[in-house]
Amino acid sequence: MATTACFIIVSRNDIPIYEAEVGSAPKREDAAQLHQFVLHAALDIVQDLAWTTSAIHLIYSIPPNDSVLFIPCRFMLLHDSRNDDGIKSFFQEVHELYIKVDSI
Amino acid sequence: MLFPPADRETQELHLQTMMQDIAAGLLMEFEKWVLQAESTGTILKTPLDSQSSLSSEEVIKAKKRRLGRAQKTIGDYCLLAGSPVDANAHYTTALELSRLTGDFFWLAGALEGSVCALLIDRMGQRDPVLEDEVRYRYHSVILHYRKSFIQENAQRVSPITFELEATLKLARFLCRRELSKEVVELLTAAADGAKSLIDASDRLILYVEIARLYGSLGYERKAAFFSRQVAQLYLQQENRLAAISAMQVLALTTKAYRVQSAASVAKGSIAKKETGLGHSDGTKMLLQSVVSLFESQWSTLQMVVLREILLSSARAGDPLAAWSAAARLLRSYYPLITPAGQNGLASALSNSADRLPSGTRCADPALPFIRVHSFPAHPSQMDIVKRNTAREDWWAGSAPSGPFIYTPFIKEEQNNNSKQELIWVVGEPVQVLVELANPCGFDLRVDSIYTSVHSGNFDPFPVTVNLPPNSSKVITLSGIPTSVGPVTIPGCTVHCFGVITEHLFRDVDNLLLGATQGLVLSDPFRCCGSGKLRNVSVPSISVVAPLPLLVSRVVGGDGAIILHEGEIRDVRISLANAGTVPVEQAHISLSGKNQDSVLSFASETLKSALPLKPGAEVTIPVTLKAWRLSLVDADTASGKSSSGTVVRHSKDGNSPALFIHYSGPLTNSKDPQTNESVVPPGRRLAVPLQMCVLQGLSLVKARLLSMEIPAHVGQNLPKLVRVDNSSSEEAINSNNKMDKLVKIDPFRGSWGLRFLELELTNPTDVVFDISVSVQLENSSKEDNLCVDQDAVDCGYPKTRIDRDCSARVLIPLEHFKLPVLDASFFVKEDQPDGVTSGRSSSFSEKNTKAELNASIRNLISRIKVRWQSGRNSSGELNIKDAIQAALQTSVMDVLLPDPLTFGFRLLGSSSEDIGSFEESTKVRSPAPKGSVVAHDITPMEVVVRNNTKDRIKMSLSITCRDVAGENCVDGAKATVLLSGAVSPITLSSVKLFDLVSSEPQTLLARVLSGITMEVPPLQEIKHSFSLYFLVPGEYTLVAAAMIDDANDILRARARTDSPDEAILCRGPPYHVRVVGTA
Repeated sequence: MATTACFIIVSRNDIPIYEAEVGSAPKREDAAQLHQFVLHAALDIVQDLAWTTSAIHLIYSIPPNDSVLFIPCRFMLLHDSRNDDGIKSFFQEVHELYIKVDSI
Repeated sequence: MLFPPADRETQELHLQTMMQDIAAGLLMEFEKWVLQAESTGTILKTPLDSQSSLSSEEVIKAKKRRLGRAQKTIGDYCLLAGSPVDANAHYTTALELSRLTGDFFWLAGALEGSVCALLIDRMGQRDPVLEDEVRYRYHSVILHYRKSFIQENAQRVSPITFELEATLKLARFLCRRELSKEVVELLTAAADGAKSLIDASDRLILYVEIARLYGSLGYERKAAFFSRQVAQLYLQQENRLAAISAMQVLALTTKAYRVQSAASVAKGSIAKKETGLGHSDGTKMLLQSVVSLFESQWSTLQMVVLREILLSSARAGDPLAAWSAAARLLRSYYPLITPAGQNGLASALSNSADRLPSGTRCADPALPFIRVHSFPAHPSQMDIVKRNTAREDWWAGSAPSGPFIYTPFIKEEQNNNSKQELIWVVGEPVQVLVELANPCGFDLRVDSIYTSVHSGNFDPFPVTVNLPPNSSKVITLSGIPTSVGPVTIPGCTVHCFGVITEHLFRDVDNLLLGATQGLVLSDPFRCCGSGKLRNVSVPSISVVAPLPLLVSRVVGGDGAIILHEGEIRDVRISLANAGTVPVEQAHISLSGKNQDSVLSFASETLKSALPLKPGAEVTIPVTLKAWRLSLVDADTASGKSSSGTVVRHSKDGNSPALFIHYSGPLTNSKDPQTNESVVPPGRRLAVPLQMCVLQGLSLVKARLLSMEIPAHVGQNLPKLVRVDNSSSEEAINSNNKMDKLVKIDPFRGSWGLRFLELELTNPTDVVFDISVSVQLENSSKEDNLCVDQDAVDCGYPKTRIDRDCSARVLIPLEHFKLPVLDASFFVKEDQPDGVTSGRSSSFSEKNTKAELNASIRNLISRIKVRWQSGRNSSGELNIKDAIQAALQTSVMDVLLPDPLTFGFRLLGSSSEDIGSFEESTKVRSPAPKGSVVAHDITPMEVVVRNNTKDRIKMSLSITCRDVAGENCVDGAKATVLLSGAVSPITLSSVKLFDLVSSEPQTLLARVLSGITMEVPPLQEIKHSFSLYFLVPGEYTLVAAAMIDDANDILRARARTDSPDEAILCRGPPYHVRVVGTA
């Protein structure tokens, strides 16, 4: 079965600042819309959960230090196959990249 | 049934008691029946059970289960009958029985029933223990429903609906903010279960419930997601009613997706306002709306939602909703829509509008984008100035009087007023400039657009505009204020695509603000090629009662007044009151650059015409003098064609302007808001005196020329001069032309005559006539009688300079000599202790220098060079600097007289009475009209005048030369006999003439030389002598004097320093014509 995933970065004001359809499934426009609809709807819950749990893969709060200009944002990945470890490492990589880009 | 005669409350109580009585009776009967019910014959079955045929095994199984099922059913009835305790008992039995028989479906049902019974029993109570109990039991309900899933029945029937319903029930029970996580899990599970639902309408109901629960949790976006799912299910049904439902459901999602209609937003804000929120909340709301604008970034989703709304409302037959959705889609997402899609939306708008009654209004604006371009201030003809009642001259300081438009002080004042204020006048049309943009790929026709004013005191005029694809346009919207009060213009009302919408400026401002921050898709104005506009704030506008209105007109054409440099012209400006109120006060002042080019304006004429009734007109004369072009101007002007320069100069801001401040009657009206008396404001009319200065005559150079024109020795003229000017005029006229031109009295002599030569060029294409006039000081009455006085004003003929020609004009400088050679002019050159002659030493050097400068300036200012070109154009050359430069070196020679002046005249009977000082200086040597006769003794006298304030001792000598320039008194070939005579005034040495006849044709006389004389200060002495001419012809008499013991003044005048050097003072030559035969 072809897997598909949609990764977005959402800024503080819930504005999507980056969006990428990843996965092996052939791209369809309505699917992309559906993914966006799902992710948009998920924001409600992410917003709540971000403050209540630290176990989820979403790395939300980064302690600001001197060198890093901290812009709060959320990384969200919509996926259809369960692979917790892979997703976790994916998010860590994304986070490191984000910090790098942000501090330039 | 009996009702007691009582009031309403008692009746209600009575009725309630009776109803409960009936219910209890019914319940008891029912319970009795239920308990006695023998269910042996019946088999309680559900679709889950095998339907086809009961095998023996199944019959046994069914019998075992029957009891439990019956108990559950009885429990249900008990619950229906309103007895939760009984129901609970039955349910408990049913639970045990069905657990034993493994009848999970009924077990779950009994559990659900028991929860219901429990909750009904404890209705109104809500404690955590109860909640935990319910949660626990429901989880097992869900579990058991799931367990009851039988694979073989799955095709036909499934307990999944029960499971989902139980899930929803639990979620609904727990639905609180604190438990949101749990509820979300339940709802997620329910949503997952929707996939297994076969019936679409089941799924629809499920989604409705999920959306409702998410909504009540406060998860708007989740709710919107499921609402949209519902709408999609409705849309699949493809009928009108379903489409209406879809439309309504989608309308609920617009808030979460931030695509809501302006109408719903407005309703919300009004509702909020009505609840009494203050101003601060209002601004906060504005901020929120700006932020929400920036948040509208899920453009894909938003477009999908709007498209679905458009589709559903079109199918539902709601053209207004369809129009609104299409308008929102087009206005917000035009950059993401292909031109074809934009066209489709435009036709959707038109189609929807066709089905709407004309004049329908919609809260959502479509196109075009409209922003304020500018609120033009009053044109300078109608400027309004606030009037200060405390000051009589309220206009003072209201206008920039200097040449600078910008002054830092005024700027500061304007900064203090955070908002610009604008005053409009009732009945006077005003204009507002707005910029429209059509960023889409189709032609946009705006049927009408006008400013929307809610205050009701403004009459806007609608206009029709066509906007080509991807274009922007600045248009003027005008209107007339109708009554006094404030006016607010929040936006424009637009009739476009068949619907009337209001376009608020604020929305576009927010959009542009977002565009500058990169948060909004696109700046519609920039993508139409329109430049960035500074942020124009809508000024606070107030309307005042009618004011007078002056309209100016330059008599003879309003075009630029074309003048040559230095030209002076009278211009008449007509002022008419075009208002409905009389002008009662008026004041004229000057403003702008080149204010000194306005020589005079008749403010009295205007004042005397007040009050100026409506329709009345007054004409005021203004005298203008064209300024000189600067070097740069002159260069470019000469380089260009004359028409080109006209355009350029008239556009230059060099012209001065008349500011006329005026106001109507001083009526005290009450301000309706503050209830304070308000003075109607005054107005300011700026009359630009459009002057276009062309290059005129220009001075090439000025220089000083010396000339020598000998005088004739005469006898009888002075008397004539003194008696009658006209006869002197004749006398002059009788002389040759050259004498007249230079205005030299031929009998007076002009040795060392100085002219100022002005070389003028005419680079223009017109002809100039130059006339020079020299003003003389009319210090005394006698001066008026003089010959020279007459020459001042009328004599000089005009010099004509053709185009591209140059000419030289001569100005004689002889009239400027000071009467006295004074020490004061030589202060600088003299030694300090040497300056004692006649002047107190207390005079400071500076003072005398200033005096000298003043006399130089005086001299210069008396020379006027006027020109005339054609019939109307005349002016004066400003050549003061040039003259000053030319005269600088020899100003002493021009101004100061020689220490001694000499004059000759024939002594005759008519000239006896010469003695007056003025005459002799002015006309030093009168001569008869006729000539001297040869071979006759000619009595003559030499007049020596001392122009200094000191007594001068000298030795005078007189020589006579013939035409060849040889001395003909001395020497062997003398042709003149000369004798000295005793002057009547002074005693000087007398020499009798000797007659020596050496040659037949000439008589020789001893030369008169070394006549020692002493002339008292400012006096003259005469020395008589006689000449005997032997040969007729022209002779020249020259007097010279060697000054003895010259003082410092004389030395300074002679420009010598050495005290030993003798100072020789020589007079001008005089001609004597000797007639007769040799």
